[in-house]
Amino acid sequence: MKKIAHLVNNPQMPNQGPIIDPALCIGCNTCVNVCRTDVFVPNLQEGKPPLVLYPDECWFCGCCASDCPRKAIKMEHPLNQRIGWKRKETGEYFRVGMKNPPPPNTKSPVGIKGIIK
Amino acid sequence: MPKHERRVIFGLHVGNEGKTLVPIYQNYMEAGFDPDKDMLQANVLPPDQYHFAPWWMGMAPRQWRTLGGAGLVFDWVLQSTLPGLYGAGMQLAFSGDHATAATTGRYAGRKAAEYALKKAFKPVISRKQVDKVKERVYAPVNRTNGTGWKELRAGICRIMQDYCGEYRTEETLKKGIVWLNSIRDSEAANAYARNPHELMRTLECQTLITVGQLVMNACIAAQKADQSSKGGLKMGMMKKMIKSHNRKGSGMPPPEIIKKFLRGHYITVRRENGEVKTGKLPFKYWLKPPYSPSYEENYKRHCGL
Repeated sequence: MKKIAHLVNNPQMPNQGPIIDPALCIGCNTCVNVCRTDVFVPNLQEGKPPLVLYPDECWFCGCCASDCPRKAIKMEHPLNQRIGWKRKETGEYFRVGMKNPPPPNTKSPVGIKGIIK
Repeated sequence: MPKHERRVIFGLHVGNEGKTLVPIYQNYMEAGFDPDKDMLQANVLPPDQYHFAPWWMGMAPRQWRTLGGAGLVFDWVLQSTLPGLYGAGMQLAFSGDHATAATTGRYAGRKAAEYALKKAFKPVISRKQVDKVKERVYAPVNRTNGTGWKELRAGICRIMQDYCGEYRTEETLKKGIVWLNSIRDSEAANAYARNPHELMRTLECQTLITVGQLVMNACIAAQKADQSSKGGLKMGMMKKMIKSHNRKGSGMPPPEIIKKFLRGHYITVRRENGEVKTGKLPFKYWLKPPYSPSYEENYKRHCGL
């Protein structure tokens, strides 16, 4: 198989911040409007996903991911900022991003409904 | 803390405030975190960091790889403790300049060739092994998303900083090894490379994980070997003592510290049949049997002139 090498700038930060799934994005530019640090710019082509032009200025606040009407934006802390937790009863150690994670916690939190998909 | 208070903190505060709703609340709930059953890890800071107020605004420890430190221990023909493995340049412990790289490269190459000829084994290329290595090495090229090399490296450096920094105990070191194994299985197994440069960096990160584990295992062995250090502050304590002594104006470490250091030893780490084996080499082992007691004699014996 022929491989193509892509010319890319050196990444400015550990990870991307917001990652837009182009298959889900409808190009409504909600994220462009809500972002408080102006990380996105609208795509020149209407209806296409906005560009994440200034990822190093991202605060990881998650406004874009929380307001996206199609849930097309993924927002994760980079690996060097992920932490773990210990299950008190069993002493097991888990972390965000581990290979075989425990089942998701779907319990309803205080005062919030419908956050967990 | 009462149960309802815990739920209020996580559900109401973390789950409602900007900056935490998506990256913490949503991601951690999806990853299986349960505030009723689990204790979330507090961030790891050296004790002196807590002196600053507010401590979370204090200067973070360095989280990036820097040059220097240990390497392969070697004998008079630049062979490591693993028979047949020769080292040169910056791979070697205590080295790091171009002159050393040039001389040791030449010398190690010559000696490795001599070893291979003396052993007179027939070189056999295992196609299976080659394919396996090729698959591992080129795997990041086949992915277009996942973990980038910079994220991977920052993550590894953070683990080394947190669990194998100035303050370390057997418990933190073992937790660090668990983290490195976890990163190897998850993020490193999911790394991508968009061009040869990124591939090189990604592979370097895989090596960093192995080297990190070597260092942590060596630290555990060093602590076991020197129980008097009371929980492994030995190197940190020594640095501090030297620092405080220097402040008094002599510019040199105090003689009792130098003496203690000279009584020390090198810890060697290797893997045998999947198990970590550690060993000990005395300080200045290169002038102790089976080698000659002086530099001159050793040079004459091994240089081949």
